[in-house]
Amino acid sequence: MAERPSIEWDADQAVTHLFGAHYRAMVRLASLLLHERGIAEEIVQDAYVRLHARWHKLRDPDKALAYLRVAVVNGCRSALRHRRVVDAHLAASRPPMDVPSAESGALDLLTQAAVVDAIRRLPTRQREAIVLRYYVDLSEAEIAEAMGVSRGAVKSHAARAVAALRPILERL
Amino acid sequence: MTPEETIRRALEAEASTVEVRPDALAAIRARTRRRRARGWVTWGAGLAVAAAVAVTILVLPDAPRPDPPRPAAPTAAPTPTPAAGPLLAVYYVGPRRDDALVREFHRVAPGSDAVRAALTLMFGTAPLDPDYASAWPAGTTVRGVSVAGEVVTVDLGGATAPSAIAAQQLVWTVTAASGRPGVRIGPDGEVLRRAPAVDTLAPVWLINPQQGEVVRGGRLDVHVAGFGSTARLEIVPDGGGESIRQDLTLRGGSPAQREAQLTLSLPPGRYTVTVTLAGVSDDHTVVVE
Repeated sequence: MAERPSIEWDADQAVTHLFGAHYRAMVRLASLLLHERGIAEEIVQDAYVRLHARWHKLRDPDKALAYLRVAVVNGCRSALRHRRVVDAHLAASRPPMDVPSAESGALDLLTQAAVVDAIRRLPTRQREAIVLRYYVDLSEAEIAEAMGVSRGAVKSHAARAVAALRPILERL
Repeated sequence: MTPEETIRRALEAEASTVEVRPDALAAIRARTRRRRARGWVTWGAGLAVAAAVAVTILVLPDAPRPDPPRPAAPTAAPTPTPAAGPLLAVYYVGPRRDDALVREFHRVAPGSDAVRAALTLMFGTAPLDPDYASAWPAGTTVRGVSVAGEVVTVDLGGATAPSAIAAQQLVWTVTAASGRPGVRIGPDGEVLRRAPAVDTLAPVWLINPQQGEVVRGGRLDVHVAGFGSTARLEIVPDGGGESIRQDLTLRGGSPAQREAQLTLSLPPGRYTVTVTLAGVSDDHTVVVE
């Protein structure tokens, strides 16, 4: 990171720098963790607002990034808990867009849609483990920190997720 | 490709379609300023909050702030048909034009064959919205449906599509119900696929609420899809009263068609909900209880 040493940043500067460096990636992470995209950006903005309040304790961009990740993962978790009833209602009343886009004719798009759909159906912790590992490319230790669980738990969530996805991946 | 590689690519591709709002940093700043105003300068807080609110309004002119998520009130089934079965997507032409497709969801009896049930609705049941219609002549009937691999063959007793859009109406309905990309009309017909969405679907859809829906609990879920980045939403109470007008930012959704979703609190009454994009409007009446 070019901006070190950053210990001199005040909270506003920290938010500005971390916004430029990570905001889009955080929104994308949140949208992969959620069943739908609508509230991803709201959750990430909450995380930045909380980071602003905490900056005087963190004072380090790496710690701040880890803090943002934890806040986003937790925010998505609690949004999903909140929304479970809504999702049940939506599933009953409004089927998802009836794509996979047959109109594209592209197998790649169908594959992508099927895999993403399967990941969205995983239990929350398994989805977190998969997304943090394969999308954010975190180490096991970093995933454990972001999820607030042990490394052993990360391993078993990820293994179960891959096992659950395997039939879909093999069909493609 | 290894399974890991497939997962990696799928996630990356999906994430790359997610865009962020251009005013996000300003929105965060407005909130952190407000916090500080409250914490540090109590005597000036009123002014600072007012300033922050003014900023929020300035930078978020088209941002309908959706209400925080909470369980939606149950909405009435859009059709009076059996309540327990699944909802199927049925395509029609509309709104007010006969060369583009719109979609409604209709409930069918549990255990129905999805393709046959969707086509029976498409041929035989009037759409909920009077601005929609079927491009097929009345009296078209389904004699049989068979599936082989990726292709669904529909026997219409020799009937053929009266127009290209009628063929697409059938193709989009059958592919939605079957999950298979190919459709043949009659055993000797050529295999048809969905034409590109942007050439086939109406520029804007009001997906939710559907025409005639009854919403309980005073909360209306609005779901809009269209080919564009913004759409105009208008909610007008029947018999006068305050209307809601706002611009919606469409994002995400399927690769072609972008979407917006929001939840609004409305006093009980009957409303006309209209979305407009590129000069085309889709409107539905809805009752809020």
